Amino acid sequence: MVPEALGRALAGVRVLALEQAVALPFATKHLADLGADVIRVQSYERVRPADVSNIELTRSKRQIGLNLAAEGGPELFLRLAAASDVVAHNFTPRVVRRFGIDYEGVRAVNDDVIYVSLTGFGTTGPWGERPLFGPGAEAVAGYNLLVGDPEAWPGRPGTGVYADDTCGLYAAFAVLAALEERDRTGAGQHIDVSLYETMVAHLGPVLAERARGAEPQRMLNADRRFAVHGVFDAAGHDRHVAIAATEAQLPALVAALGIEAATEEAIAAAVADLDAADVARRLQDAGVAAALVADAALDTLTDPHLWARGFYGLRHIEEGPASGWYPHLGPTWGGPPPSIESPRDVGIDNTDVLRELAGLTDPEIAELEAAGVLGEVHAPATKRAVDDGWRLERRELSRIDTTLPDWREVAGHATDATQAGAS
Amino acid sequence: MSAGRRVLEVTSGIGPAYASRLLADVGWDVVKVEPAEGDALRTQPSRWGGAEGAAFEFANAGKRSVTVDDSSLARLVEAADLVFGDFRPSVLEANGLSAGAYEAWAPRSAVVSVSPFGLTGPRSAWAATELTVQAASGLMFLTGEADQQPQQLPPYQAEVTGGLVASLAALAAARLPRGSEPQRLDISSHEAMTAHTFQFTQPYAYYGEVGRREPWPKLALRMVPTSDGHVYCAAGAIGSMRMDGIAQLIEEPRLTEDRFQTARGRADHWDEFLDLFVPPFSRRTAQEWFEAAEALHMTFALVQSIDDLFTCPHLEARGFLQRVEPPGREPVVHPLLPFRTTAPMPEARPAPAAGQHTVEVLEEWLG
Repeated sequence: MVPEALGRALAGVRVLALEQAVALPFATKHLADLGADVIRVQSYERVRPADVSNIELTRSKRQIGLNLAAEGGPELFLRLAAASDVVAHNFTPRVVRRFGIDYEGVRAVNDDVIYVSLTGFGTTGPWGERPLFGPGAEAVAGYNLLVGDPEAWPGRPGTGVYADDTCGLYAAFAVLAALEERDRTGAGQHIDVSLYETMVAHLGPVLAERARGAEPQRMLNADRRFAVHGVFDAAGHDRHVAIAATEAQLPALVAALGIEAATEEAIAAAVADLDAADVARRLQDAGVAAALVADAALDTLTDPHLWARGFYGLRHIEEGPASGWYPHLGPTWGGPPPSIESPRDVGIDNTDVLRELAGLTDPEIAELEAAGVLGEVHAPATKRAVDDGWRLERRELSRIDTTLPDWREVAGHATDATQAGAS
Repeated sequence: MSAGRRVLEVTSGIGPAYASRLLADVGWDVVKVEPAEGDALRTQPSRWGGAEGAAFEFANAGKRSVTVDDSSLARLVEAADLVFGDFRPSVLEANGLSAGAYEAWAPRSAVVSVSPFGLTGPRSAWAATELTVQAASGLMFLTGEADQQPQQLPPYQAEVTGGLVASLAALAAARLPRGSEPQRLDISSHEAMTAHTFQFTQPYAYYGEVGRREPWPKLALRMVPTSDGHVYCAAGAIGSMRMDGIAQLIEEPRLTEDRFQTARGRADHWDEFLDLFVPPFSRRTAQEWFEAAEALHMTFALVQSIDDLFTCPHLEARGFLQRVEPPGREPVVHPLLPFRTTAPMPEARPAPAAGQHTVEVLEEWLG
């Protein structure tokens, strides 16, 4: 079921976001999916060609190119801030203080503003001025000593953006809670959300367990609550199946795999020459939890389950590395995917936004452009300039597929599957 | 904090429990419906064994608990703004609820389901655990070193991420005008996790690149062994960044040679590079390297354990962790609210005992 009304929940709410990298853009993407008018402010001077993955972080937002370091830059930002419900940034506390656009500066022009500082460690405390990136946040919050092999160096959650995304979700939650609070009391607030603390919060159950005497450590894919718990290599290059079975499920597992006893060795041998997805289905038929270890590529992008639920939508990209139809994420709570759009240029909405929010006339806007306060940059997505053969050799990539699915066909098949399932 | 908003949580599970706990954190009145013998998670041990029920304490802090019959439950649902649960038919049955609850119930704002694979689609009825959800999401394929199998993430990550997304969506649903059709939100922990993989799925969609677990050299330059543990070196050190800063930090001038100034150059002279880069770090403690790097404006991080978090001066200064003593049960330590705010903060409140608040909640909610 598609909660279409959810896309209007933040209608009339304006979010001004001075954002970079991933964490805050991920937060404001969610607010945009809920119908907020998100205005993404970035320097037009440092724009690099977009990566295709960043389309997910910039879509559904209006784009301003503003040079805060230019004379008149901070004043213009404050005029936009005065007309916004939420003002957010993910720079260090020092940077926003320097430009006079910290909470105090913005509050002076917008008394009930909801102001979000998304930083590495928060704006106070002994580490408050220190910079931190997402992967470092995972290390300092305790994740890396919980991932991988206890005999090897610490591991880390895959993707490189786990902390950024997670912090972004908490920031979006905080904004929604603050809007509710403001509706009730009329008061704004300063939300001080950090990569470090949100990652600690996300490990909350483990902190509680440690306090009660558990001994958290790296232990590969083991879990003492299960009789069988692990990842097994299946047929083909880099194919694996994950299996989790309780003591009570062992007879079913043994029968499904045709083995004599549910030892690690017997399971590994039974699975080694089989298709990982087939093993998962066979175990599921026997009521045992199992799943293909899906790659974050062909497997997930052609997953009939995800398509049937509307997790992906198709978008037509007009230019960039290859124009055509591509799958993109919809809202995280389910469809429908946002309207189709190509990546939008930095500064493309300068004129509209400044007319509307700051009441500026076209000559005034032209003057700001001439003075270098405002700018516009056309930077379509390009392919990263990396030698693919070298990346394969370094095992940075599992493989490169030269023939890709027709994504419209993938989407169409999924639609058929949904209809078949419904009938 | 927001008065008057009422949340009912009707099934077991960390996902729905965490979703409603986040709302309790920001002042909502959250009531958990429990069987008389208590939620199954009250006795669940940790991944490592022991610590029974600790995750329950974290996910249910600040709530009230009731034990009620079917007719009182129906009236509580009517009185609630939001209802959270895992609404898979099998879970409803296990919790003594009718299979049609998701469709039939009509609280004022929304019925919010948080389940492993969602309520629709070919895998909705699949048996699922944290491990298999992480596996299906694409995240495990990316986690681990190049020579390792895909690795699991820390415990509960899919469940708490699903819960977090559900809390967000629920707050949004509660903003919609009253009197419109109640919303039904079907949150899947699997999707909440798959959303993290967009930086890998998009390059595949466009270029056919299948990303995988990181090659060990990359990891090696992220976490380097020190005299007492490991220190995290900023990712920039392995990209196109020059080695001048690192050379100065570890007092190894040979790292400024031209051949080490690009990622490609370092990879082509990898063994020599590692021999120069890694051993010096064993001369000092992680904390010393962290501070020395900071003095040179390099972004390092400590590789902390859970015990380190308990004694972290920064978390202590910000009052981030709370020791909570539920009456009659062992104490726990956990975060109070995932962020700081100038708005009034909630007080640390323990998770309830099963059915502890039945009488007062029935009186308050049903009059």
